[in-house]
Amino acid sequence: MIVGIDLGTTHSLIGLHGDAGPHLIPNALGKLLTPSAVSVDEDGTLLVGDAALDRLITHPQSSVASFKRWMGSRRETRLGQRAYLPEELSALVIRSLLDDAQAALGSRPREAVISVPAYFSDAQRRATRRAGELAGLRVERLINEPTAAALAYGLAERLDEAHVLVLDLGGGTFDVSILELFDGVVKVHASAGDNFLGGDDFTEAIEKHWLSEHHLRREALKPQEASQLRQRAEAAKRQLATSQSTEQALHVAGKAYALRLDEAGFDQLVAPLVQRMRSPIERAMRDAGLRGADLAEVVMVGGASRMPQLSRLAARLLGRLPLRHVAPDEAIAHGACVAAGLKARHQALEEIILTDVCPHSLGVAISMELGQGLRSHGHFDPIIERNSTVPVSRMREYYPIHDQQTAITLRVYQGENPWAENNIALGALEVPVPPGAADERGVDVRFTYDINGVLQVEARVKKTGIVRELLLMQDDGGLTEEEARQRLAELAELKTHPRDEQPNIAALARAERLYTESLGEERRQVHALIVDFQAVLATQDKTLVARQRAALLQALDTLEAREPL
Amino acid sequence: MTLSAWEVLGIEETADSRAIRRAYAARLKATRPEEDATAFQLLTDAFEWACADARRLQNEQAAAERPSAGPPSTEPEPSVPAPDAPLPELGKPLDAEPAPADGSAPATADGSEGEERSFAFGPFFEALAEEIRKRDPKHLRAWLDAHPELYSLELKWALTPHVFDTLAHNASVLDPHRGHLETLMHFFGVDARLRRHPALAPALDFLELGQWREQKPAASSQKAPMPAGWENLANVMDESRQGPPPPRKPLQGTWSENLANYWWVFIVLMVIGKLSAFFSQ
Repeated sequence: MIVGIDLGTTHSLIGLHGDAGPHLIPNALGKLLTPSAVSVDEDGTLLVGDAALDRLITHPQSSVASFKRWMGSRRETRLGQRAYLPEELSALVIRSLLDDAQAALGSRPREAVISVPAYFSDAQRRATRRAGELAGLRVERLINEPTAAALAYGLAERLDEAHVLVLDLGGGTFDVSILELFDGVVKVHASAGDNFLGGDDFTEAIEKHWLSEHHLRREALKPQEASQLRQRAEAAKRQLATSQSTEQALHVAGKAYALRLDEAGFDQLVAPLVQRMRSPIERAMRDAGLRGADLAEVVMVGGASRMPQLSRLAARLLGRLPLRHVAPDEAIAHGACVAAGLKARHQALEEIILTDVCPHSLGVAISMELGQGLRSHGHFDPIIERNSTVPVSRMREYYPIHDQQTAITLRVYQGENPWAENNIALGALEVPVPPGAADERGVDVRFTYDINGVLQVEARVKKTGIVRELLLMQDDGGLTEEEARQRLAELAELKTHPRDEQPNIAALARAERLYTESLGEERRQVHALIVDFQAVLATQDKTLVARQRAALLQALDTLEAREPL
Repeated sequence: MTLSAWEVLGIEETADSRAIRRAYAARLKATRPEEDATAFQLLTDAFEWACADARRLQNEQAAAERPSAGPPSTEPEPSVPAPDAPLPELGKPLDAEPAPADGSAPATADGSEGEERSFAFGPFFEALAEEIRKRDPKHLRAWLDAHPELYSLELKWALTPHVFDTLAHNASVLDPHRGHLETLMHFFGVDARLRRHPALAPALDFLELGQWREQKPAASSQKAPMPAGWENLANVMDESRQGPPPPRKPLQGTWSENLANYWWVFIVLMVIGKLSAFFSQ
């Protein structure tokens, strides 16, 4: 059994491909979306999901969210006694998803397909793979998120002979992919995107605007207040997707502030972000050699695609109205399930073949002859062009510059800029060249990029037959095997609450958050509710607790729905 | 080993892209990407080559059917330049693979040419020139971002070679900074591949090296002859300039030369400094 996992910036989902198609599995609270948030409580017990997200406000020091943005880096987050790497936090989320799958399926899944943003780099992909491994999974394949979304969409709609453009605006990443469906082949033509642009940036723009409007300094805010501000900005963003204006309340140092924003103001705030979404769309269309009219569908997925700004931009660029996916938050997870089904060779998917592309250009730095003895150095020479169908292997020949040269250093880069130094350096490889005239000593450089996004570089000196290899998988700043094993053992020791207690803990965390956020009469009400619920919890009578919990959640819903201030 | 693309696909040579796709899909069932990478790449390369070839054939057929009218007559008005004249690549997407069959998306060619004609390049470039002359790269970018017509992808692609070519021809008048150039390259999506496209490379080489700065005194007389159809635009530029080019900061073009010629002064100063420090002890 292979499961599909969407490991998102804001929330994560798990599911598998059944006979009736992709099928998502709910968590202990009965929800399909588990927030990608982790928190550690006072006695060192781990909380994942809604409870952790609420604790982000009440206990900001021991809670964390949006860590997908740090994947591929060694940034550590301290929660309680231990510091966690981004992939470890992701591993904890995956582990919680696996608990849900185990509860639903009866056995714990061992293999998975995990979705990643198409524009994730090598290092970020490896970190995602490690996250799966740290959660005790074998990661069968990483699938690009927009590819996943389009795969599920195209198959569900039974599209054939059609080009589909998928715009995926998630919490932290923006991806554009163009796919073609024909005769059971799902062929990705082009992918482009921005790894550091997502719904979170829109929220941040609102936060900054309010801070400067009320002459507040972010550094002066207490952690609780900062979390509250973030939450208010998030709520405002959601509200502005459907209504003209929004009003929120914020309490800082005992003083209440009214935070207002209208549609026009929001448009102005996020204009630079909207401009940043423009070039990936343009690039994908240019690489696929298509015009807006050639597309059968333009589909928007990802939670942040609910914002009207994306659909307006797409309409302007492509000359047609995009279609919002019916369940933008679930589209990618559905696709991950389909990919898992493909991998497991599920009968229903026997005839489907998916081909993907390498979203970046990969090449080496070269020196170019300008004529009249002039040379210009540091140019980027792509060997594998971006949006080549993978797996792909390409070769180019390079020569030494001088006759006296004894070695060629191949500096490997990833990116699109004409100047090598403006691209991402992946590594270097030195190749000895035999003496002789420069143009007789060619070196064949072969780049091989496999289906999982691993690059291999091989240089062969034509005259001597010497071969030098650079496997970029190995020399990366990731974990050593020893370190990985140790961290795996440490993570395994972390305690979690029993599954049937999780709804109670989540309800309490939410009540505590409301207590923190409210003042006066409302605060007393919330306090009374918490005391009541704790009294019922102490009876350990399951039916009574369940009834009281439902009443508590309803009371909290009414409190939260009230107008601010 | 030397199978033709058609042999790899197992079909006769055809301009029918539907048949090519069907053949590819059928072969792919036995050559899955996760199983045999080499065979998969061979098949996919053959497929992509065949698709490009089919499009080329279709284009040739379409061109043959068209009435053989001469090139569109060039309007003398500067507001309606004849963009076909100076650059043959015009109106085709620039990303077309230079090596294999031309134009990976010739579908774009016709439509964008039509649109191009209704777009007045002269006034557009005049306004662009004004931005370059008066504003910094940041404002130039904001102006480009806000330009409503440049939201059209086809127009933007079709315009790209003209913008850089015209800029190169007017460089001595406009004297664009490196920042302006980078902004334009970024906005028009000039990447490593496009940078070397034959329609762009000469203009960009010229602009990046700042060659007009070296031929300062005789700039106007030594200027390369304008390609046909661009004289009007040059006149527009000259009229708006009114008199000699705006004075440049004296050091702007030559500081690097000065540095190259007088670098030893710094060394001497450093040595003197060290010596005086030494003797004062």
